[in-house]
Amino acid sequence: MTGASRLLTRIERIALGFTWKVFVGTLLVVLVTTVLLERQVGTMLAERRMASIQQRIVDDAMVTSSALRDAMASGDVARLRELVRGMGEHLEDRRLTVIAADGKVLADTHEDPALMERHADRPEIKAPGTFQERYSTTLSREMMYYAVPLESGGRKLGSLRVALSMDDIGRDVDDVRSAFRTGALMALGVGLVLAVVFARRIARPLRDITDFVAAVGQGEYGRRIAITTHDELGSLAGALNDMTDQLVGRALRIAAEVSQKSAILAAMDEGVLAVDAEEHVVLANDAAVSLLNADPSIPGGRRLAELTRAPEILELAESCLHDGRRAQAELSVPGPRGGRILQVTAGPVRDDDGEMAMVVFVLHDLTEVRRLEKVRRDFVANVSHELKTPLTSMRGFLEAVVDDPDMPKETRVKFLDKVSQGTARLGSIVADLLELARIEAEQGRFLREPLFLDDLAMACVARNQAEAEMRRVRLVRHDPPVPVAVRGDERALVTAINNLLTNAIKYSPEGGHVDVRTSADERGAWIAVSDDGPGIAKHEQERIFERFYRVDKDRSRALGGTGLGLSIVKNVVLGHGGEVSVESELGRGSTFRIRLPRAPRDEGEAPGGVAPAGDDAGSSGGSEPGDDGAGGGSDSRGADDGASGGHPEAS
Amino acid sequence: MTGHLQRDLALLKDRILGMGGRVEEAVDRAHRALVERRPDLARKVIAEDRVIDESELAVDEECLKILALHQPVAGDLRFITSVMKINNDLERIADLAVNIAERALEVCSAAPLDEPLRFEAMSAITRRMLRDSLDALVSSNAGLARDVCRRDDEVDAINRSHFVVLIKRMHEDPDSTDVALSLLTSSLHIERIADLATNIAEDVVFMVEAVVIRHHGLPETVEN
Repeated sequence: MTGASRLLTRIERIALGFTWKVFVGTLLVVLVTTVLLERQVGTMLAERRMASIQQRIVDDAMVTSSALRDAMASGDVARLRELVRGMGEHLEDRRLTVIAADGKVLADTHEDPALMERHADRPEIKAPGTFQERYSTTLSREMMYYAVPLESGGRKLGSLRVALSMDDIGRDVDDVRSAFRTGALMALGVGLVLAVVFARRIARPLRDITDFVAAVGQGEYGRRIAITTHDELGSLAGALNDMTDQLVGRALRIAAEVSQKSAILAAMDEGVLAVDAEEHVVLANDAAVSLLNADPSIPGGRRLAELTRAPEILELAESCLHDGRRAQAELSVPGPRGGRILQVTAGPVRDDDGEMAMVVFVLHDLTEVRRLEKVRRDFVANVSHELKTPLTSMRGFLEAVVDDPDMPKETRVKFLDKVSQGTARLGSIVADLLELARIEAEQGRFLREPLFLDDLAMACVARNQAEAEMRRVRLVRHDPPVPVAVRGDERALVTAINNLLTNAIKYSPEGGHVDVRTSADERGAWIAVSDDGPGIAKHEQERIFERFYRVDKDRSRALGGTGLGLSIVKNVVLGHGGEVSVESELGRGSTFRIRLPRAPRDEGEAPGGVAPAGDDAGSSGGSEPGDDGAGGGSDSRGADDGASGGHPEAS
Repeated sequence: MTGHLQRDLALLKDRILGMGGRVEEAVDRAHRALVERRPDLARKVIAEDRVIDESELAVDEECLKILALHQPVAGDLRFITSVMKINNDLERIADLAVNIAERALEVCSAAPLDEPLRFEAMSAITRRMLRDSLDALVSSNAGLARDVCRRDDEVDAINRSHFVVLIKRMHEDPDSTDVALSLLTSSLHIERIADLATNIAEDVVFMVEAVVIRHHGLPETVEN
């Protein structure tokens, strides 16, 4: 199949190609030249030949006539005949005839004169000095005749006739002509071979150039023509090579630019989407596709309505194409977890003639912004509420005391005690808020001291022992055989663990127990605090780490919680590069787990000096000057914070 | 001539998809109004139904215009007849969304019923069905459309479970009859939306494959 078609194209190439045209052209030129030349030269040659033969005939006649004149004058016929016969032997093809004045043939080189008729009426005899052509009956062939009179002393004795066969003349001319034709044929042959050779020498580079141009056109940018000649074709090939170099360079630059731009577009968080005036999608980056929840196989050539059916975007496209003005809209894309909120800006792009060419959409994901706004709003509302509640009750009690000077002492003491509780409560809220603010401000700038997690757990347990006993909750520590080393800010970590512990004690029923477990595995160092309290519902587990979020508001406040403890835990742990999680089921108690990155193993022995200090929780803040120097502004407040951060509820 | 026809068909597809987008949004809002107790969204659904009605009329007119002007045949003709049916189905879905929104307003004003209702799942499946049936229309994907038809059973099952739960509740607690009835009606409407989404998917199969699959069970479901 391919072989046959290749042969066909080859034939076609030859039939229509350059070689064939040159071949045919050469053939025609040579043929026409030959024919014309042959005719021209043949005619000229024949004339020349004739002229020279006639000259020879005339010469012969002159010479012969002078030789024969004497014999003629003497009338010696026998001698005359002998002379003529002698001459005839030298004159091969020419025939001499001597004719007497009366027309009788006296002598002849070829015939017996006795047998010949009288020649007086022959035109050449009648008009001597002219050439006559005529068919000779004697010799039965076309002859040319010429006669000169033989005169002696002014008296005409007779005529000498020279005859020559026309065939001989014609044969000469024919010889020349055929020689000419042979030459022409040879010239034709050689010319054609040369023509083909030259044509192919021109055609091959042309074909190479054609193949090259086609190949480059199809994307073989590396291809170049080998320059073999230094003629016009060679310089054409060179120019083509140069042009290809430049084009390829330009194409590569453009391709690099395009890929750079699409890389930039792909890397953008904002979705970028462009449609032309017919609302065909021209461009859509990955972010746009995922923000719009679109089918990723669609972008490019499809219509906008096929990419997204969001009414806001379709309306924006229409109005932007219509008015040519920038426009903005906010839309919500349905999806898991309440979907997304997008801000869409549509900008018109005009072409050089000022016609609307495209609309470019930029999509911002506002979901997180909106969520944070809500968190902030909630926070402010919560803070105001949390601060206002104790204030209101304090004012109530104080007003009662102020308004009633006769109040019984017990009542007044009771009221003032309530006020005192209120101020303590406000104090603890403010302290927690300050702690939280400090931790958030210090996020990522915690100390990186080598510590043993077990020591921290021990310190916290010791600190809460009294409270636990008061509530009849058993505190149980489970330590691994090998101490777990971590790096971190001792005061912050103690606060965090302490918060978990006080919560656990608070929510445990009387007679319950709280387990504190430290462990280590390949994922990090763990400390888990479990209680057998009421547990936390699944949907609330995510939210308990938010500021002021409370599962059971009344109970929490009754227990003296500020609603900030777990938020502090979360911030501390995140600041240490760890994570905090909760595992709980309603009625089955809760387990809070803190995971911290482990200190490198070879540092395991380093914190040996700190460990004894950690034994005594009260002294740990004050006894370590290095700790406080870096960690906080004032010594006393630092120690105070460490205590109140852990015991706001207890006070 | 064909250039004009293709252009008109593309615009028609734009219109029906745009309408689909609006209807999807209405269903989404109605659902959120019901589940998240958001009367503002319910009122939005009710207010914007007019736009959908207008766009139904516009699509219908466009279809008739193309039929009269170009007298299309084969695939183009199937496309237009399918669009006319889908248009009708979409408009009815929008009306059902309005009904759900109206129920939602009543549900919002009453105390929540503490019953194991699965509106979230039911509505999620239904909205997905609607979305996929329109996506199938976009990409002429008959496989996706057939898949949509198969999902209708789940919605029916949830609807039946809602009936059981809510009727029992009405018997036990006559005070909650109003809310329970509203929820029951909403459940019915959602089930109906799923049916209409199935209709759309069937029309897409007809449009793509010229095969009518209505009123015959799919081979897969016959085996069950």
